[in-house]
Amino acid sequence: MHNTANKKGKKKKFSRRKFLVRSAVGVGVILGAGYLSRGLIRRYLAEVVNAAEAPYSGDTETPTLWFEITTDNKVILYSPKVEMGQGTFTGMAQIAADELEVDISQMKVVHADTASGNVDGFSTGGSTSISSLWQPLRELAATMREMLKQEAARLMSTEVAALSVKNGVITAGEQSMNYGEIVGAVKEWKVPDVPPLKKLEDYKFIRKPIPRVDLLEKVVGAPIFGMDAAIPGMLYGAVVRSSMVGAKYKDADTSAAENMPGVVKVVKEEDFVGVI
Amino acid sequence: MKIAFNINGVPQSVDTDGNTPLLWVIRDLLDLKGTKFGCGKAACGACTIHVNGDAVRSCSYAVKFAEGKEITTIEGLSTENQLHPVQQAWMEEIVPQCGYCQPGFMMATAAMLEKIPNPTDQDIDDNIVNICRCATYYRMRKAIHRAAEIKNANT
Repeated sequence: MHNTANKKGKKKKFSRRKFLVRSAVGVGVILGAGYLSRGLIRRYLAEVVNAAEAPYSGDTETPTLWFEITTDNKVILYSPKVEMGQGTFTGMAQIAADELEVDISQMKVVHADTASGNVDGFSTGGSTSISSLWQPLRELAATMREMLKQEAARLMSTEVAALSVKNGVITAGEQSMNYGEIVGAVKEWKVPDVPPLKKLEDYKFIRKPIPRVDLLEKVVGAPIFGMDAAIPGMLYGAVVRSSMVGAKYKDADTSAAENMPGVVKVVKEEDFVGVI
Repeated sequence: MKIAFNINGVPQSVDTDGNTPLLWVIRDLLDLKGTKFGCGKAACGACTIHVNGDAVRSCSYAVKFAEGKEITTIEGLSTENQLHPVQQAWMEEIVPQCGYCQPGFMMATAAMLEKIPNPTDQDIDDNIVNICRCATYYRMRKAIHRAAEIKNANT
């Protein structure tokens, strides 16, 4: 750890982010980002070289989906980290809301699905989610905010410097537009360099205790768990293993199972039987 | 066999093996995913629902016994615009962590409050015997007392 201080002194600038901006079906526009560059991960690894932690290690090349801004001026954050009760969704919402200049009630955090590309190879654990996303998520959110401001200035025929932002509403004198209206009006996005981040004391949600952002869903029984996922044509599987410790599986008579209603296939594997 | 019942106030009929656990009828046939599968042997209470107002562990309740009964799941606990007092209390006390077992706890609590409007800690210990792996029991106890307050204030 003695090298950390030296290395922190000469942080490299991140390269310009690649942002993917694509139209959503029906509502709003999805703003995504090819995010964490290799440089970031290398730097992070150098900083924690003596700590048994791993940072975000998802895809760093392909633009991946992080944020969706909906026409009702809400922000959906697609999390590469799993919320399992530790409150990581709430922490991520706090981080993003502060740099995005939206109220915490405008943030919704969901698990990124595998098709979104925002999948973290390190997975979730070791108390690394917030520490590894702290810097990149703030930078991503701040960059998004600046992209929105640039477009707002263009749409309202004014200068970025003349704009003020609060709760996802950008105001220029008498005029104002919310984020949802802006994303609805923009076809092509320009990506600025990462802007300076706010000072710690200027954060409104970070460092404050707030109710969990996933509270309501969990109280009404929303289908948010892995087991609740459904895809077309999905089949269910179950395995049977020997009930004796140390037993060696030789063979099983599966004829009765094969003839049960709803059974598609019975699979015999090396040390278990699977029923689909 | 054909089995007809009311679920969350809506008449419903299913055609399935009568021995199918009600849990799977609710989750897979009726697509109400709020009721959870935990242990499958009525030990943990994650699958708790109401059958004619009683808390029942649906993983071990054959659907054939539901014929003509009134079933309520977590989706039917609130009304269109208003959370149930138990859900309100759960929000106030920020009870859930991972949240998986919570629908079962809330259903068990709602059923208890119909019979015991002002439960003591002992009543809670005796009646709410579900299992929570996050160990949210402390906040749950506070929320159960709070739910009783909200419910009694409403009536």
